[in-house]
Amino acid sequence: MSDVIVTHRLTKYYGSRCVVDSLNLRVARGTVYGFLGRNAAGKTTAIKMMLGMVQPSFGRAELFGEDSAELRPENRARIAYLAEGHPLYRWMTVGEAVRFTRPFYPTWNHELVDQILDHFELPRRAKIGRLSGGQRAQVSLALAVAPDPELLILDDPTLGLDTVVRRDFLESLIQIIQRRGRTILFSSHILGDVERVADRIGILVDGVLRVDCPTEHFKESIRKVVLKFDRPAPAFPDCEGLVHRRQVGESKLELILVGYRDEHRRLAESLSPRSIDVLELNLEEAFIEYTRGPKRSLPIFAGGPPDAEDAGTKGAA
Amino acid sequence: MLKTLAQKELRETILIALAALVVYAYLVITGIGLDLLPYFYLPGFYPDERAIPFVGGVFSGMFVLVSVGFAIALGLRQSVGESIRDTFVFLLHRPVRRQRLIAVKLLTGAALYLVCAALPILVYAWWAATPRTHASPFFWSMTLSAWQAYVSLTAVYLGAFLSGLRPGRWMGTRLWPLAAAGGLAWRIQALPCWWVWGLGALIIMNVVLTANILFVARNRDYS
Repeated sequence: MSDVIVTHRLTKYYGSRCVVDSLNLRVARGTVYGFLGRNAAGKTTAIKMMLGMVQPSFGRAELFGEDSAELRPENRARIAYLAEGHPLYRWMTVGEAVRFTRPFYPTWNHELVDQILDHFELPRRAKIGRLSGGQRAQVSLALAVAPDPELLILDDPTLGLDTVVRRDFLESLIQIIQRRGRTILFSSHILGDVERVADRIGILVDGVLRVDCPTEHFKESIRKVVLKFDRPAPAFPDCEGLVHRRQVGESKLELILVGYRDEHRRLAESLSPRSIDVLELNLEEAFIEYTRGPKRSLPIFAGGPPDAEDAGTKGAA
Repeated sequence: MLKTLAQKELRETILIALAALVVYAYLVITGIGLDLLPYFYLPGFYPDERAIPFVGGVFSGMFVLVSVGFAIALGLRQSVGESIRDTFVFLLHRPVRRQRLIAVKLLTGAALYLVCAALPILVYAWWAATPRTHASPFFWSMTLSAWQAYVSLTAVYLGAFLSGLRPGRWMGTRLWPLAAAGGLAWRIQALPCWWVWGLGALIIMNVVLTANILFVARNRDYS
Protein backbone atom coordinates (compact mmCIF):
# COMPACT_ATOMS: atom_id res chain seq x y z
CA MET A 1 0.00 0.00 0.00
CA SER A 2 1.60 3.32 -1.04
CA ASP A 3 1.86 6.29 1.29
CA VAL A 4 -0.14 9.36 0.33
CA ILE A 5 1.30 11.60 3.05
CA VAL A 6 4.92 11.37 4.10
CA THR A 7 6.75 13.83 6.31
CA HIS A 8 10.48 13.72 7.00
CA ARG A 9 11.62 15.42 10.20
CA LEU A 10 9.17 18.23 9.62
CA THR A 11 10.04 21.02 12.00
CA LYS A 12 8.75 24.53 12.55
CA TYR A 13 10.11 27.23 14.80
CA TYR A 14 8.29 30.49 15.48
CA GLY A 15 11.08 32.61 16.89
CA SER A 16 12.80 30.38 19.42
CA ARG A 17 9.66 28.32 20.08
CA CYS A 18 9.52 24.91 18.44
CA VAL A 19 5.92 24.34 17.37
CA VAL A 20 6.44 21.11 15.44
CA ASP A 21 9.47 18.99 16.26
CA SER A 22 10.87 16.51 13.73
CA LEU A 23 7.54 15.07 12.68
CA ASN A 24 7.89 11.78 10.80
CA LEU A 25 4.55 10.59 9.58
CA ARG A 26 3.29 8.16 6.95
CA VAL A 27 -0.34 7.88 6.00
CA ALA A 28 -1.11 4.99 3.69
CA ARG A 29 -3.65 5.20 0.89
CA GLY A 30 -7.19 4.46 2.10
CA THR A 31 -6.42 5.22 5.75
CA VAL A 32 -8.63 7.44 7.91
CA TYR A 33 -6.03 9.03 10.16
CA GLY A 34 -7.02 10.94 13.29
CA PHE A 35 -4.42 13.59 14.04
CA LEU A 36 -4.84 14.48 17.68
CA GLY A 37 -3.40 16.83 20.21
CA ARG A 38 -4.42 19.39 22.74
CA ASN A 39 -4.81 23.06 21.80
CA ALA A 40 -1.53 24.53 20.53
CA ALA A 41 0.01 21.06 20.18
CA GLY A 42 1.07 21.96 16.63
CA LYS A 43 -1.62 20.13 14.62
CA THR A 44 -2.66 23.08 12.44
CA THR A 45 0.93 24.14 11.78
CA ALA A 46 1.86 20.56 10.82
CA ILE A 47 -1.13 20.34 8.46
CA LYS A 48 -0.32 23.70 6.89
CA MET A 49 3.27 22.56 6.33
CA MET A 50 1.96 19.40 4.68
CA LEU A 51 -0.08 21.58 2.32
CA GLY A 52 2.68 24.07 1.59
CA MET A 53 0.93 26.95 3.36
CA VAL A 54 3.67 27.23 5.99
CA GLN A 55 7.36 26.84 5.20
CA PRO A 56 9.11 24.28 7.40
CA SER A 57 12.16 25.46 9.32
CA PHE A 58 13.59 22.03 8.63
CA GLY A 59 12.50 18.81 6.96
CA ARG A 60 9.90 18.32 4.26
CA ALA A 61 6.49 16.91 3.51
CA GLU A 62 5.37 14.94 0.48
CA LEU A 63 1.86 14.49 -0.83
CA PHE A 64 1.41 11.89 -3.57
CA GLY A 65 5.20 11.65 -3.68
CA GLU A 66 5.68 15.33 -4.49
CA ASP A 67 7.27 17.93 -2.23
CA SER A 68 4.33 19.87 -0.82
CA ALA A 69 6.20 23.18 -1.12
CA GLU A 70 6.25 22.65 -4.90
CA LEU A 71 2.89 20.94 -5.30
CA ARG A 72 1.74 21.07 -8.92
CA PRO A 73 -1.86 22.19 -9.58
CA GLU A 74 -2.71 18.69 -10.90
CA ASN A 75 -1.81 17.17 -7.55
CA ARG A 76 -3.37 19.97 -5.51
CA ALA A 77 -6.63 19.29 -7.36
CA ARG A 78 -6.54 15.75 -5.89
CA ILE A 79 -6.53 17.14 -2.34
CA ALA A 80 -9.44 18.63 -0.44
CA TYR A 81 -8.57 20.85 2.48
CA LEU A 82 -11.00 22.06 5.09
CA ALA A 83 -9.17 24.73 7.03
CA GLU A 84 -9.90 25.39 10.67
CA GLY A 85 -12.85 27.77 11.05
CA HIS A 86 -14.03 27.11 7.48
CA PRO A 87 -12.77 30.32 5.88
CA LEU A 88 -14.95 31.25 2.92
CA TYR A 89 -15.74 34.56 1.25
CA ARG A 90 -18.51 35.91 3.42
CA TRP A 91 -19.89 38.24 0.76
CA MET A 92 -20.60 35.32 -1.56
CA THR A 93 -23.85 33.42 -1.57
CA VAL A 94 -23.71 29.64 -1.35
CA GLY A 95 -24.40 29.47 -5.10
CA GLU A 96 -21.65 32.00 -5.84
CA ALA A 97 -19.17 30.02 -3.73
CA VAL A 98 -19.99 26.92 -5.81
CA ARG A 99 -19.69 28.87 -9.08
CA PHE A 100 -16.39 30.38 -7.90
CA THR A 101 -14.86 27.02 -6.96
CA ARG A 102 -16.15 24.89 -9.85
CA PRO A 103 -13.97 26.23 -12.73
CA PHE A 104 -10.77 25.15 -10.95
CA TYR A 105 -11.64 21.45 -11.08
CA PRO A 106 -12.09 19.40 -14.23
CA THR A 107 -13.61 16.54 -12.20
CA TRP A 108 -16.25 18.67 -10.45
CA ASN A 109 -19.28 16.61 -9.45
CA HIS A 110 -22.18 19.01 -9.58
CA GLU A 111 -24.74 16.38 -8.63
CA LEU A 112 -22.86 15.58 -5.45
CA VAL A 113 -22.74 19.25 -4.47
CA ASP A 114 -26.47 19.55 -5.06
CA GLN A 115 -27.09 16.41 -3.02
CA ILE A 116 -25.03 17.68 -0.09
CA LEU A 117 -26.55 21.17 -0.19
CA ASP A 118 -30.04 19.67 -0.37
CA HIS A 119 -29.26 17.23 2.42
CA PHE A 120 -28.18 20.07 4.69
CA GLU A 121 -31.07 22.26 3.42
CA LEU A 122 -28.69 25.06 2.49
CA PRO A 123 -30.36 27.72 0.35
CA ARG A 124 -28.21 28.67 -2.68
CA ARG A 125 -29.10 32.34 -2.26
CA ALA A 126 -28.05 32.60 1.38
CA LYS A 127 -25.04 34.81 2.04
CA ILE A 128 -22.21 32.83 3.59
CA GLY A 129 -21.65 35.64 6.08
CA ARG A 130 -25.14 35.06 7.43
CA LEU A 131 -24.81 31.30 7.84
CA SER A 132 -24.14 29.71 11.20
CA GLY A 133 -20.76 28.07 11.88
CA GLY A 134 -22.32 24.65 11.28
CA GLN A 135 -23.79 25.69 7.94
CA ARG A 136 -20.45 27.16 6.85
CA ALA A 137 -18.83 23.84 7.71
CA GLN A 138 -21.42 22.10 5.55
CA VAL A 139 -20.76 24.43 2.61
CA SER A 140 -17.02 23.85 3.04
CA LEU A 141 -17.57 20.09 3.02
CA ALA A 142 -19.68 20.29 -0.14
CA LEU A 143 -17.02 22.39 -1.90
CA ALA A 144 -14.24 20.11 -0.68
CA VAL A 145 -15.71 16.80 -1.85
CA ALA A 146 -17.21 18.01 -5.13
CA PRO A 147 -13.96 17.65 -7.12
CA ASP A 148 -13.86 13.98 -6.06
CA PRO A 149 -10.55 14.31 -4.18
CA GLU A 150 -8.36 11.33 -3.38
CA LEU A 151 -7.08 12.88 -0.18
CA LEU A 152 -9.07 14.91 2.35
CA ILE A 153 -7.24 16.94 4.97
CA LEU A 154 -9.64 18.28 7.54
CA ASP A 155 -8.35 20.61 10.22
CA ASP A 156 -10.68 20.38 13.19
CA PRO A 157 -13.77 20.36 10.96
CA THR A 158 -16.23 20.09 13.84
CA LEU A 159 -14.69 22.82 16.00
CA GLY A 160 -17.39 25.11 17.38
CA LEU A 161 -20.31 23.03 16.13
CA ASP A 162 -23.05 21.93 18.49
CA THR A 163 -23.55 18.23 19.17
CA VAL A 164 -26.38 17.69 16.71
CA VAL A 165 -24.70 19.52 13.82
CA ARG A 166 -21.44 17.76 14.61
CA ARG A 167 -23.10 14.37 14.51
CA ASP A 168 -24.84 15.22 11.24
CA PHE A 169 -21.60 16.50 9.75
CA LEU A 170 -19.76 13.33 10.76
CA GLU A 171 -22.50 11.07 9.44
CA SER A 172 -22.14 12.79 6.07
CA LEU A 173 -18.37 12.48 6.26
CA ILE A 174 -18.65 8.76 7.02
CA GLN A 175 -20.99 8.29 4.06
CA ILE A 176 -18.53 10.06 1.79
CA ILE A 177 -15.65 7.98 3.13
CA GLN A 178 -17.52 4.71 2.75
CA ARG A 179 -18.67 5.55 -0.72
CA ARG A 180 -15.23 6.23 -2.09
CA GLY A 181 -12.62 4.75 0.22
CA ARG A 182 -10.49 7.86 0.20
CA THR A 183 -7.48 8.74 2.33
CA ILE A 184 -8.43 11.13 5.10
CA LEU A 185 -6.33 12.94 7.65
CA PHE A 186 -8.37 14.82 10.15
CA SER A 187 -7.37 16.68 13.23
CA SER A 188 -9.65 17.08 16.18
CA HIS A 189 -9.68 17.20 19.90
CA ILE A 190 -13.18 15.74 20.10
CA LEU A 191 -12.20 12.17 20.65
CA GLY A 192 -15.66 10.69 20.20
CA ASP A 193 -15.57 11.91 16.59
CA VAL A 194 -12.17 10.38 15.99
CA GLU A 195 -13.11 7.07 17.57
CA ARG A 196 -16.04 6.74 15.19
CA VAL A 197 -14.15 7.31 11.97
CA ALA A 198 -10.39 6.88 12.39
CA ASP A 199 -8.65 3.58 11.94
CA ARG A 200 -5.28 5.01 12.90
CA ILE A 201 -4.30 7.88 15.16
CA GLY A 202 -1.33 10.10 15.78
CA ILE A 203 -1.01 12.24 18.88
CA LEU A 204 1.10 15.36 18.99
CA VAL A 205 2.26 16.49 22.41
CA ASP A 206 4.00 19.86 22.40
CA GLY A 207 4.86 19.46 18.73
CA VAL A 208 6.30 15.94 19.11
CA LEU A 209 4.52 12.90 17.65
CA ARG A 210 4.17 10.67 20.70
CA VAL A 211 1.66 8.18 19.33
CA ASP A 212 1.24 6.71 15.86
CA CYS A 213 -0.69 3.47 15.81
CA PRO A 214 -4.10 1.90 15.09
CA THR A 215 -6.83 3.40 17.27
CA GLU A 216 -7.54 0.11 19.03
CA HIS A 217 -3.84 -0.43 19.74
CA PHE A 218 -3.66 2.92 21.53
CA LYS A 219 -6.72 2.17 23.64
CA GLU A 220 -5.32 -1.24 24.57
CA SER A 221 -1.92 0.21 25.43
CA ILE A 222 -3.18 2.59 28.10
CA ARG A 223 -4.40 1.25 31.43
CA LYS A 224 -5.52 2.97 34.56
CA VAL A 225 -4.44 1.10 37.68
CA VAL A 226 -6.14 2.00 40.94
CA LEU A 227 -4.42 0.93 44.15
CA LYS A 228 -6.35 1.14 47.43
CA PHE A 229 -4.60 0.96 50.78
CA ASP A 230 -5.66 0.52 54.41
CA ARG A 231 -3.08 3.14 55.30
CA PRO A 232 -1.85 6.34 53.69
CA ALA A 233 -0.85 5.55 50.10
CA PRO A 234 2.91 5.22 49.62
CA ALA A 235 4.76 6.74 46.66
CA PHE A 236 4.79 4.62 43.51
CA PRO A 237 8.33 4.22 42.16
CA ASP A 238 9.38 5.44 38.72
CA CYS A 239 9.26 2.74 36.09
CA GLU A 240 9.12 2.37 32.35
CA GLY A 241 5.62 2.98 31.02
CA LEU A 242 4.44 5.14 33.89
CA VAL A 243 2.74 8.16 32.33
CA HIS A 244 1.05 9.68 35.30
CA ARG A 245 0.39 9.02 38.97
CA ARG A 246 -1.80 10.86 41.38
CA GLN A 247 -2.96 10.36 44.92
CA VAL A 248 -6.72 10.53 45.46
CA GLY A 249 -7.53 11.19 49.10
CA GLU A 250 -5.33 9.59 51.73
CA SER A 251 -5.36 5.98 50.71
CA LYS A 252 -5.89 5.74 46.94
CA LEU A 253 -3.34 5.88 44.18
CA GLU A 254 -4.20 6.16 40.49
CA LEU A 255 -1.59 5.23 37.89
CA ILE A 256 -1.66 5.61 34.13
CA LEU A 257 0.54 3.04 32.48
CA VAL A 258 1.51 2.36 28.89
CA GLY A 259 1.83 -1.36 28.12
CA TYR A 260 0.70 -2.68 31.51
CA ARG A 261 2.58 -5.91 32.23
CA ASP A 262 3.83 -8.24 35.00
CA GLU A 263 6.62 -5.88 35.99
CA HIS A 264 4.03 -3.20 36.78
CA ARG A 265 1.86 -5.68 38.70
CA ARG A 266 4.83 -6.84 40.76
CA LEU A 267 5.74 -3.24 41.58
CA ALA A 268 2.14 -2.54 42.61
CA GLU A 269 1.97 -5.70 44.73
CA SER A 270 5.25 -4.80 46.43
CA LEU A 271 3.43 -1.84 48.00
CA SER A 272 0.92 -4.27 49.64
CA PRO A 273 -2.31 -2.53 48.61
CA ARG A 274 -5.71 -3.75 49.78
CA SER A 275 -6.85 -3.98 46.14
CA ILE A 276 -5.52 -3.52 42.62
CA ASP A 277 -8.02 -2.61 39.90
CA VAL A 278 -6.85 -2.49 36.29
CA LEU A 279 -9.28 -0.42 34.18
CA GLU A 280 -9.62 -0.16 30.41
CA LEU A 281 -10.16 3.32 29.05
CA ASN A 282 -12.08 4.59 26.06
CA LEU A 283 -10.21 6.71 23.52
CA GLU A 284 -11.18 10.00 25.13
CA GLU A 285 -10.12 8.93 28.60
CA ALA A 286 -6.93 7.37 27.26
CA PHE A 287 -6.11 10.53 25.31
CA ILE A 288 -6.76 12.79 28.30
CA GLU A 289 -4.71 10.67 30.67
CA TYR A 290 -1.90 10.27 28.16
CA THR A 291 -1.60 13.91 27.13
CA ARG A 292 -1.88 15.40 30.58
CA GLY A 293 0.92 13.21 31.82
CA PRO A 294 4.52 14.41 31.92
CA LYS A 295 5.93 15.61 28.60
CA ARG A 296 8.38 12.73 28.47
CA SER A 297 5.77 10.02 28.62
CA LEU A 298 6.38 6.78 26.76
CA PRO A 299 5.72 6.99 23.03
CA ILE A 300 3.38 4.47 21.40
CA PHE A 301 4.14 3.31 17.88
CA ALA A 302 2.66 0.24 16.34
CA GLY A 303 5.60 -1.73 14.98
CA GLY A 304 8.16 0.80 16.20
CA PRO A 305 8.65 4.45 15.34
CA PRO A 306 7.91 5.38 11.71
CA ASP A 307 11.54 6.38 11.16
CA ALA A 308 14.79 5.51 12.82
CA GLU A 309 15.52 9.22 13.21
CA ASP A 310 12.12 9.86 14.72
CA ALA A 311 12.30 12.61 17.27
CA GLY A 312 9.19 11.14 18.80
CA THR A 313 11.44 8.69 20.50
CA LYS A 314 13.71 11.37 21.84
CA GLY A 315 11.66 11.81 24.92
CA ALA A 316 11.12 8.16 25.61
CA ALA A 317 11.20 7.32 29.27
CA MET B 1 -10.82 29.93 -14.02
CA LEU B 2 -8.64 33.04 -14.22
CA LYS B 3 -11.74 34.96 -15.29
CA THR B 4 -13.52 33.75 -12.14
CA LEU B 5 -10.60 34.94 -10.04
CA ALA B 6 -10.58 38.33 -11.74
CA GLN B 7 -14.34 38.64 -11.22
CA LYS B 8 -13.91 37.85 -7.53
CA GLU B 9 -11.23 40.54 -7.22
CA LEU B 10 -13.47 43.04 -8.97
CA ARG B 11 -16.39 42.20 -6.68
CA GLU B 12 -14.22 42.72 -3.62
CA THR B 13 -12.80 46.05 -4.75
CA ILE B 14 -15.79 47.53 -6.50
CA LEU B 15 -16.87 49.59 -3.47
CA ILE B 16 -13.44 51.18 -3.20
CA ALA B 17 -13.52 51.94 -6.92
CA LEU B 18 -17.01 53.44 -6.67
CA ALA B 19 -15.97 55.59 -3.71
CA ALA B 20 -12.94 56.79 -5.68
CA LEU B 21 -15.11 57.56 -8.71
CA VAL B 22 -17.47 59.65 -6.55
CA VAL B 23 -14.55 61.68 -5.21
CA TYR B 24 -13.05 62.00 -8.71
CA ALA B 25 -16.43 63.20 -10.00
CA TYR B 26 -16.57 65.79 -7.23
CA LEU B 27 -13.02 66.85 -8.13
CA VAL B 28 -13.86 67.25 -11.82
CA ILE B 29 -17.06 69.16 -11.03
CA THR B 30 -15.08 71.49 -8.78
CA GLY B 31 -12.38 71.89 -11.44
CA ILE B 32 -14.96 72.73 -14.08
CA GLY B 33 -16.55 75.17 -11.69
CA LEU B 34 -20.10 73.86 -12.00
CA ASP B 35 -22.46 75.22 -9.39
CA LEU B 36 -23.87 71.81 -8.61
CA LEU B 37 -22.86 72.00 -5.01
CA PRO B 38 -22.71 75.73 -4.32
CA TYR B 39 -22.61 75.62 -0.57
CA PHE B 40 -20.50 72.58 0.05
CA TYR B 41 -16.83 72.44 -0.73
CA LEU B 42 -14.41 70.15 1.00
CA PRO B 43 -11.16 71.72 2.26
CA GLY B 44 -8.87 72.32 -0.72
CA PHE B 45 -11.65 71.83 -3.26
CA TYR B 46 -12.49 75.49 -3.88
CA PRO B 47 -13.27 76.24 -7.54
CA ASP B 48 -11.32 78.95 -9.28
CA GLU B 49 -12.87 80.03 -12.57
CA ARG B 50 -9.74 81.90 -13.61
CA ALA B 51 -7.44 78.90 -13.10
CA ILE B 52 -5.78 77.40 -16.17
CA PRO B 53 -6.79 73.70 -16.44
CA PHE B 54 -4.02 71.27 -15.30
CA VAL B 55 -1.71 74.20 -14.59
CA GLY B 56 -3.47 76.17 -11.86
CA GLY B 57 -6.49 75.41 -9.70
CA VAL B 58 -7.24 72.50 -7.47
CA PHE B 59 -7.40 69.64 -9.95
CA SER B 60 -3.80 68.44 -10.29
CA GLY B 61 -2.86 68.51 -6.60
CA MET B 62 -6.11 67.01 -5.41
CA PHE B 63 -6.01 64.38 -8.14
CA VAL B 64 -2.69 63.14 -6.78
CA LEU B 65 -3.99 63.07 -3.20
CA VAL B 66 -7.17 61.22 -4.10
CA SER B 67 -5.29 58.76 -6.32
CA VAL B 68 -2.74 58.02 -3.60
CA GLY B 69 -5.61 57.15 -1.23
CA PHE B 70 -7.30 55.07 -3.92
CA ALA B 71 -4.12 53.13 -4.78
CA ILE B 72 -3.33 52.44 -1.12
CA ALA B 73 -6.89 51.34 -0.31
CA LEU B 74 -6.94 49.05 -3.34
CA GLY B 75 -3.56 47.44 -2.59
CA LEU B 76 -4.31 46.88 1.07
CA ARG B 77 -7.82 45.58 0.40
CA GLN B 78 -6.49 42.91 -1.93
CA SER B 79 -3.73 41.74 0.40
CA VAL B 80 -4.58 42.50 4.04
CA GLY B 81 -8.24 41.79 3.28
CA GLU B 82 -7.47 38.12 2.58
CA SER B 83 -5.30 37.83 5.70
CA ILE B 84 -7.85 39.42 8.02
CA ARG B 85 -10.66 37.17 6.81
CA ASP B 86 -8.34 34.13 6.82
CA THR B 87 -9.32 33.38 3.23
CA PHE B 88 -5.76 33.15 1.88
CA VAL B 89 -5.65 29.43 2.75
CA PHE B 90 -8.93 28.85 0.91
CA LEU B 91 -7.74 30.80 -2.13
CA LEU B 92 -4.22 29.39 -2.24
CA HIS B 93 -5.44 25.82 -2.06
CA ARG B 94 -7.11 26.22 -5.45
CA PRO B 95 -5.16 24.20 -8.02
CA VAL B 96 -3.42 27.14 -9.67
CA ARG B 97 0.19 28.18 -9.22
CA ARG B 98 0.49 30.67 -6.39
CA GLN B 99 2.31 33.22 -8.52
CA ARG B 100 -0.45 33.02 -11.08
CA LEU B 101 -3.12 33.67 -8.46
CA ILE B 102 -1.25 36.69 -7.17
CA ALA B 103 -0.57 37.91 -10.71
CA VAL B 104 -4.32 37.85 -11.44
CA LYS B 105 -4.91 39.87 -8.27
CA LEU B 106 -2.26 42.42 -9.29
CA LEU B 107 -3.47 42.70 -12.87
CA THR B 108 -7.06 43.18 -11.78
CA GLY B 109 -6.16 45.76 -9.14
CA ALA B 110 -3.82 47.65 -11.44
CA ALA B 111 -6.36 47.62 -14.27
CA LEU B 112 -9.06 48.92 -11.93
CA TYR B 113 -6.78 51.72 -10.74
CA LEU B 114 -5.70 52.64 -14.26
CA VAL B 115 -9.26 52.74 -15.61
CA CYS B 116 -10.80 54.64 -12.69
CA ALA B 117 -7.97 57.15 -12.30
CA ALA B 118 -7.84 57.84 -16.05
CA LEU B 119 -11.48 58.90 -16.15
CA PRO B 120 -11.17 62.22 -14.25
CA ILE B 121 -8.15 63.26 -16.34
CA LEU B 122 -9.95 62.42 -19.58
CA VAL B 123 -13.20 64.13 -18.59
CA TYR B 124 -11.46 67.24 -17.28
CA ALA B 125 -9.20 67.39 -20.37
CA TRP B 126 -12.19 66.89 -22.66
CA TRP B 127 -13.94 69.82 -20.95
CA ALA B 128 -10.77 71.94 -21.09
CA ALA B 129 -10.33 71.15 -24.80
CA THR B 130 -13.90 72.18 -25.60
CA PRO B 131 -13.97 75.78 -26.91
CA ARG B 132 -15.76 78.49 -24.92
CA THR B 133 -15.84 76.59 -21.66
CA HIS B 134 -13.15 78.65 -19.95
CA ALA B 135 -11.14 81.81 -20.54
CA SER B 136 -7.66 80.30 -20.83
CA PRO B 137 -5.57 78.46 -23.38
CA PHE B 138 -5.43 74.67 -23.49
CA PHE B 139 -2.95 72.30 -25.09
CA TRP B 140 -3.00 68.54 -24.62
CA SER B 141 0.60 68.74 -23.48
CA MET B 142 -0.71 70.52 -20.37
CA THR B 143 -2.15 67.17 -19.19
CA LEU B 144 1.24 65.46 -19.20
CA SER B 145 1.99 66.18 -15.54
CA ALA B 146 -1.36 64.61 -14.54
CA TRP B 147 -0.61 61.53 -16.67
CA GLN B 148 2.85 61.40 -15.13
CA ALA B 149 1.40 61.30 -11.62
CA TYR B 150 -1.24 58.81 -12.75
CA VAL B 151 1.36 56.37 -14.06
CA SER B 152 3.70 56.90 -11.10
CA LEU B 153 1.03 55.96 -8.59
CA THR B 154 1.00 52.37 -9.86
CA ALA B 155 4.13 52.05 -7.68
CA VAL B 156 2.11 53.19 -4.67
CA TYR B 157 -0.51 50.53 -5.45
CA LEU B 158 2.18 47.85 -5.66
CA GLY B 159 3.87 49.17 -2.50
CA ALA B 160 0.56 49.00 -0.62
CA PHE B 161 -0.06 45.47 -1.87
CA LEU B 162 3.41 44.38 -0.77
CA SER B 163 2.97 46.05 2.62
CA GLY B 164 -0.26 44.16 3.12
CA LEU B 165 1.20 40.87 1.98
CA ARG B 166 4.53 40.74 3.77
CA PRO B 167 4.53 39.61 7.35
CA GLY B 168 6.08 41.95 9.85
CA ARG B 169 6.23 42.04 13.59
CA TRP B 170 5.15 45.63 13.79
CA MET B 171 3.33 48.02 11.51
CA GLY B 172 6.38 50.23 10.85
CA THR B 173 8.24 47.32 9.26
CA ARG B 174 5.24 46.25 7.24
CA LEU B 175 4.68 49.74 5.85
CA TRP B 176 8.28 50.07 4.69
CA PRO B 177 7.59 49.00 1.05
CA LEU B 178 4.70 51.45 0.80
CA ALA B 179 6.77 54.30 2.21
CA ALA B 180 9.70 53.43 -0.07
CA ALA B 181 7.52 53.12 -3.17
CA GLY B 182 5.70 56.39 -2.41
CA GLY B 183 8.94 58.24 -1.68
CA LEU B 184 10.66 56.98 -4.82
CA ALA B 185 7.61 57.67 -7.01
CA TRP B 186 7.67 61.24 -5.70
CA ARG B 187 11.42 61.62 -6.13
CA ILE B 188 11.48 60.46 -9.73
CA GLN B 189 9.00 63.21 -10.62
CA ALA B 190 11.96 65.57 -10.51
CA LEU B 191 14.00 63.63 -13.10
CA PRO B 192 14.66 65.48 -16.36
CA CYS B 193 13.04 64.13 -19.54
CA TRP B 194 10.54 62.28 -17.34
CA TRP B 195 9.01 60.22 -20.13
CA VAL B 196 12.45 58.72 -20.73
CA TRP B 197 14.34 58.60 -17.42
CA GLY B 198 11.42 58.89 -15.03
CA LEU B 199 9.31 56.31 -16.81
CA GLY B 200 12.33 54.02 -17.10
CA ALA B 201 12.99 54.31 -13.36
CA LEU B 202 9.29 53.73 -12.64
CA ILE B 203 9.21 50.59 -14.79
CA ILE B 204 12.28 49.24 -12.99
CA MET B 205 10.71 50.06 -9.61
CA ASN B 206 7.45 48.36 -10.57
CA VAL B 207 9.27 45.27 -11.82
CA VAL B 208 11.22 45.07 -8.55
CA LEU B 209 8.03 45.51 -6.50
CA THR B 210 6.15 42.88 -8.53
CA ALA B 211 9.03 40.41 -8.24
CA ASN B 212 9.12 41.07 -4.50
CA ILE B 213 5.37 40.50 -4.20
CA LEU B 214 5.61 37.18 -6.06
CA PHE B 215 8.59 36.14 -3.93
CA VAL B 216 6.84 37.00 -0.65
CA ALA B 217 3.61 35.32 -1.81
CA ARG B 218 5.54 32.14 -2.53
CA ASN B 219 7.65 32.07 0.63
CA ARG B 220 5.62 33.58 3.44
CA ASP B 221 3.71 31.54 6.00
CA TYR B 222 -0.07 31.60 5.75
CA SER B 223 -0.60 30.67 9.37
